[in-house]
Amino acid sequence: MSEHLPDLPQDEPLIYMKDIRRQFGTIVALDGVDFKVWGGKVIGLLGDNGAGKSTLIKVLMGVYTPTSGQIYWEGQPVRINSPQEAQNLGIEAVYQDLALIPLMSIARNFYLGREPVRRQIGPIKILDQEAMERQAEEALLEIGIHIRSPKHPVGSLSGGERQSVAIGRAVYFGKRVLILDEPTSALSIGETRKVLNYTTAAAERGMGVIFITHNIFHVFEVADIFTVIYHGRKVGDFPKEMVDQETVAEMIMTGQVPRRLEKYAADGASIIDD
Amino acid sequence: MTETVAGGPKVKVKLEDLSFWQTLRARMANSPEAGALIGFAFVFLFFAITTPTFFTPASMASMLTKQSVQGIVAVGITFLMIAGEFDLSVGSILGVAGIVFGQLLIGEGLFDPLPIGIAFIAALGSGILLGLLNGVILVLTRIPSFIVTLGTLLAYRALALTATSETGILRLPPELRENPPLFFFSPWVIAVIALGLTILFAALTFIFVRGRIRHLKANVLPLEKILAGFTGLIGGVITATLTIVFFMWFASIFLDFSAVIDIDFGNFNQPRTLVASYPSPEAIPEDATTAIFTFFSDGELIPKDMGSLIEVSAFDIMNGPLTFFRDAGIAGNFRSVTIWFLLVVIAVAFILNHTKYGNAVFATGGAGEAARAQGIPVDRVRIINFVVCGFLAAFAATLEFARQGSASGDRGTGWELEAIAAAVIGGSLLSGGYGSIYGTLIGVILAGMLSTGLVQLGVPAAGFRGYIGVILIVAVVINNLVRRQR
Ligand SMILES: Nc1ncnc2c1ncn2[C@@H]1O[C@H](COP(=O)(O)OP(=O)(O)OP(=O)(O)O)[C@@H](O)[C@H]1O
Ligand SMILES: [Mg+2]
Repeated sequence: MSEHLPDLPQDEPLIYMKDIRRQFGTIVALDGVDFKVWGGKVIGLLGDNGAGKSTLIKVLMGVYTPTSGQIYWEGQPVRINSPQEAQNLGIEAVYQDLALIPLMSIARNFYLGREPVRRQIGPIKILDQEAMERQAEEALLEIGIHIRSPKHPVGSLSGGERQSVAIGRAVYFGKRVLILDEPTSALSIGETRKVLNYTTAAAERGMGVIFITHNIFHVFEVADIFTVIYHGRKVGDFPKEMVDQETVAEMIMTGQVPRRLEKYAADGASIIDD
Repeated sequence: MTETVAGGPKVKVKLEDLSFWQTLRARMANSPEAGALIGFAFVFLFFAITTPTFFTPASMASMLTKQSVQGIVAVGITFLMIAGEFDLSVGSILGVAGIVFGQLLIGEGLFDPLPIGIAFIAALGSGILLGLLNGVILVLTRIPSFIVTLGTLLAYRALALTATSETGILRLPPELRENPPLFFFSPWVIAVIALGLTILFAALTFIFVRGRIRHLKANVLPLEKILAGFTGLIGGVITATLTIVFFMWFASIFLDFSAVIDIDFGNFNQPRTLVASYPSPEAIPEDATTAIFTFFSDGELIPKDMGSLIEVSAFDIMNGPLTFFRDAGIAGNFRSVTIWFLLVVIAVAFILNHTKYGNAVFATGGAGEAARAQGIPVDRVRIINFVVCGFLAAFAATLEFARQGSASGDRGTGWELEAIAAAVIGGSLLSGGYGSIYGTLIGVILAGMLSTGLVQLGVPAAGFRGYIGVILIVAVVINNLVRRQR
C-alpha cells in the first residue's frame, strides 16, 4: 500500500442503500448490496445480465419493497413504499422495461400522475389539456427531442423515439436524482450523444445520476464511479481514474477484483492476484 | 413547472400535406367510437328504410327505455374495462340491489316500510359494497378479475335468490302503487332549478360554439373545417334549444300561459306525473312561445299563485313517463331513465377524458406496471372503478324497480355479457387502456335498434342474441380495420 489511492467521495451521500436484499420466491436477486449515490456524481451501475441492477433501482424507486435492508436519504433513514414517494423526494427513473403507456398520447404520458390542473371542483381535478400538450412539446424540444405531435399515441412512435420521450420526462421532472436504466439501447448515435450530454449536465447541476448500461464505452464517457454487481452481490465501487475498460469488463464477467483495487472491493468479494 | 419551459420554440404540426381522406382516416383511427358510428348509421338507415314503424317516437321511446337501464350498467363496465378489469358480477349486483331496494320499501312484516330516500341509499350502498368486495379480492389475491367476478357472479346471485326464496317476486303493494312517495317542492325551488339549467345551457352553448369557431379558424384542413362547422352547428342548435326550453320552463312557473291561450294541460293535476302539476312543462316550447307573443300583443298574462307546493312522485323522477314529450304531441313513452342514462354518460365520459383521475384509469388499463412505476396508485384505481361499476349497477336496479314496481332474484341475469358486448362494439378494448363511454352509448343504442328493428321486420325474437353476437364480431373487425389506419 505504498502508492496513493484516491478515495471515494467523503461527503454525505444523497442516497445510501444499506445491505439490500430482495428475493423473488427462491431466486435471490439482491444479496446484501450496499449502494451509494452522491450529488454531482454519475454512478455507472454495471453487471452482467441478471446481476440485479434493475432490481436494485426498482427497490430504490419503491416499485419493489426490499426483503430486508435500509435506505437513507441525505443520512436519514426512509421507507420508500411507492414510486410516488420516490418522486416526491425528487428521484426520477427511466426504466428498462416499464417506460410508457403505448395507447396514451405523448402529452398524457409525459405528465402522467402530475398533470397540470385547470380547475378543481371537490375531488375532481380538471386537466389543462392545452397546457399539457404545449408544455410537453416545449419541454421535449428544449432537451432536443422533436416529436410530430404531442397528441399522437406513444404506440405510434419508434422504439428510439419512445425512449427519448421517457428520458425527456425524467430529465424534466427529476430534481435530485436521475436514474437511467439502459437508456441508450434503442438510440441512434446522435440521440445517444444527447443523452450522454444530459447525463453529465445533470451531474454538473448537482444531481446524482445512476447510469446503467452494457455499453462500456458510453459509461466510461460519463461516469465518475463504477459500481459493479455480480449475481446479486456487490463487487465494489471503483473511481474512474483507477480502472480501464478491460478491468471493468473483467470484473463484470468474473466478479473478481484485482488485488491492486482491493481497497475498493466490497466485503466478501473475491480478490485475485493479477 | 411552467417557467422552466417558457419561451421554447413552438413546433407546428405539419398536416397540410395530408389529403382529405388521409385526415379522415387518421381521425377515425384515433376515435374508439368510429367503427360503432359507422355501424350505427348503417343499421339505422337499413331499418328506417325497410321498416315503417321503426323510426317512430313510440318505437324509439320503448327502445330507449329498455336500453337506458342496461346502458347505465354498460357505462360502469366500460369504465372498469378501460382500467383493465372485468366485472361479470354486475347482473348479480343489480339483482341484489333491486331486492334491497324493494324489500326496504315494502317492509313485508319484518319491519315497517322505510322512506324511499333511505331505501335508495341502502340499495346504492349494497352495490358499492359488493363492488368494493370485488376490488379488494382482486387486489389482495392478484387473481384475474375474470375469475374473481365469475365467482362473485355466482355468489351474489345465490344471495339474491336465497333472499327471495320465500317471498318470490317482491311487488310494490297496491297502496304504494297508487300513492307513491311524493316530493313536495316549493315553486321557488323549481324556479331556481329551471333558472340554473337555463344559465348552464346558455354557458354550454357559448363555450361550445366559441370552441368550435376557434377550431374552425385554427385548422387549415378542409375536413377539419367541415367537421368543426358541422359539430358546431348541431351542438349549438341542440344546446341553444335546451336553453330556450329551460327558460320557458322558468317563465311558466311564474306566469299562467293557459290564461292567455287555450292550452289543454292534460294531466295537469295528476300527482304521478313528472314535474306536471305546477310548472306545466307541457306548455313548452311552442305554447309558451305563443303565450309570450300573445302577452306582448295583448298584455294579459296572469301571474301564478306561488303559494301552493308542487308534488312529484319519486318513481316518476327515477323512471316515469316524460309527459312533456307526450303532451307536446309526440306519441310514445319516453321516460326519465333516458335522462339519467345521458347524465351518467356525460359525467363518466367527462371524468375519463378531462380529469387527472381519468388519465390514471387509462394508464392503469394500458400498462399497469408502467403506470405504477410512474407513481399512479393502480390498486386504488382498480378498487375505485369496481366500486363505481357496482354503484351504477345498483342505480340501474333502482330505476328498473321504479318502472316495474317489482324485483326478483333473477333480475339482471346475463346483463353482464350484453354490457360487455356494448362496450366492445363501442370500440373499447377488452385488454384495457383504450375505449370511450360515448362509444358504449352508441353500442347500447345500436343493440337496442337491432332488437327493435328485427322484431318489427318479423324476425323471431328468440334469435336476437345471435344477431348481437354477429354485430359484436363485425364491430370488432371494423374497429380493428379502422385502427390499423393509424
Ligand atoms: N419480478 C420478478 N420476478 C421474479 N424474478 C425476478 C423479477 N425481477 C427480476 N427477477 C430476477 O432477478 C434477477 C435480477 O434481475 P434484474 O432485472 O435486476 O437484472 P439486471 O441486472 O437488470 O439484468 P439486465 O442487464 O439483463 O437488465 C434475475 O435473475 C431475474 O430473473
Ligand atoms: Mg435490467
